[in-house]
Amino acid sequence: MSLLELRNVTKGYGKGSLRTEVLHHVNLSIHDGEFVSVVGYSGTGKTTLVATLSSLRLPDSGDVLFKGQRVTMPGPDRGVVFQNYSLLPWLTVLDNVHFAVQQAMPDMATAKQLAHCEKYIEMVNLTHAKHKTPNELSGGMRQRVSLARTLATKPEVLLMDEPLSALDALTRATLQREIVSIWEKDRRTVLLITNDVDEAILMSDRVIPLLPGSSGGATLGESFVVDIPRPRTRESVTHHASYRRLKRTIIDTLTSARKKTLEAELETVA
Amino acid sequence: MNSKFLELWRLKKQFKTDKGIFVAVRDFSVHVAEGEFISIIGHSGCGKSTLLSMVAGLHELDAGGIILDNKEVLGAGPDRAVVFQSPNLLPWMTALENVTIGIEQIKPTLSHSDRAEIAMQWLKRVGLGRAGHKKPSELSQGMQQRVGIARAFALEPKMLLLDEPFGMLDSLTRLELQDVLLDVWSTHRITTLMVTHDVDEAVTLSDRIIMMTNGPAATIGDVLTIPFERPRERATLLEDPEYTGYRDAVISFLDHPEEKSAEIQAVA
Repeated sequence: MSLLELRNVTKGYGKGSLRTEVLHHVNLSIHDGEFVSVVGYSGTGKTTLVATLSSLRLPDSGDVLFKGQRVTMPGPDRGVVFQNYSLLPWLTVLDNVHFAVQQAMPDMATAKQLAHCEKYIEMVNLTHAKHKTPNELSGGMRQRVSLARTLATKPEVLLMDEPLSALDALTRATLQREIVSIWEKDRRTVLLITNDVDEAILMSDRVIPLLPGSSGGATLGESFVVDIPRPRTRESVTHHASYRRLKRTIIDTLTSARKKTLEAELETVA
Repeated sequence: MNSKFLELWRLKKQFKTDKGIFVAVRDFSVHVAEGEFISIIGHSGCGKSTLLSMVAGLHELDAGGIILDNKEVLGAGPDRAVVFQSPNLLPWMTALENVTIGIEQIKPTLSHSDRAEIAMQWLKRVGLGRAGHKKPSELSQGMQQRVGIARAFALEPKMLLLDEPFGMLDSLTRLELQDVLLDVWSTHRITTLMVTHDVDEAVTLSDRIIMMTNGPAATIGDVLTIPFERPRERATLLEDPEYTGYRDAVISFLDHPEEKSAEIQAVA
């Protein structure tokens, strides 16, 4: 069954002749327990896609469906991990996570809430830093806090908007492994937004390219099923028979769509 | 072809700090043939950009020497065009003027219209034929870096020095720019030294990859030859099983540079 769905969603910004369409008739269906990646160029509407899926923004036309029901309000059932971490700078790691848990699970006793938070802080390997504030943490650690915070609210879908793009290659690889192993443990449904094709293949069951459209709005392409068995490592993925073809086809799909819009971009530039 | 077009001999660079002398790079020696594309790859802080700056003549050497086309390099000059991570275009000039101003340096006797004509050819070559009159602020970062590439090639330099030229771009736009570079380079094989930390970028573009040990006192850990024929196409490379092999070799070096470093330390 499809857990989260976009039906014919169109979204733009601005009014009248100043309107820029960002998403154009986007259809998406994420199944329960699935790990799906959307890969696209920066500036093609990836963040708008996450904002629409989480109802932080509403579509101009079309519907967002969660478990078959139309949704128009954000809720803890769809948790978002942002690229810029979005932590509260004056709160410690524990308090940042606790603050979210208080909102999502108001009926739980405080002691129980705190124990719950510590469990998730442990899961992202930050127990040693739980009393530190964000400015005392590296980028990778801050993103771990953000991940723990979202996981602790027990969302049914995890929406991740380029969570690893701001990190260096080594930290990025570590967090890729951690996110997948957490996902393998409790099979939460995940939608990951990324601009890195290798990251998408490594982590996902399906990879969907976000294709820039020549009319302005981007749309989602056909999805590519990643048939590489789990658990995966970077080595097992790059040595799998499907990897090279998969990577090549995904890149081809994206670059050929991009070439068409590049012509249009240069036209407007001129 | 001149197999010692560029000769780097036992380069050393150190900096004075509060805690004493910090040796960034030492004993860095390599010969680069004319028309060769060399990448230098290593972790942050391994001194790879320092090295490039020395070849550019922007850093003085503390030991060793650099010979380019039988002449010692003693300072910066237009025979070595540098492309930095950020495009560094002059913001008040159009794309065309940014390319033209470089040509003024190397061809001062040429008329203004002839210079603009050459600049326009280069802009066309990087896919910006229609954007010549645009200011940098009106162009995306990827587009600005295309101008940077055009400007560098327009200098008709003996060498191209690329310092993580696509490091600021998202990984898809980076592929796009690599394709532009691959295309321009296929017809103008200017001897190139590129610093990068992107493994795919190094394998796709280079004839040889120099892998640096971790700093301080970084030096050459290993050198990998990438014998793919030119002109190269990304799609063909990605399908080639050898490609994965080269990629693995670089990644495994980067994952365990300390092993190589220990070996080198033992020899030294």
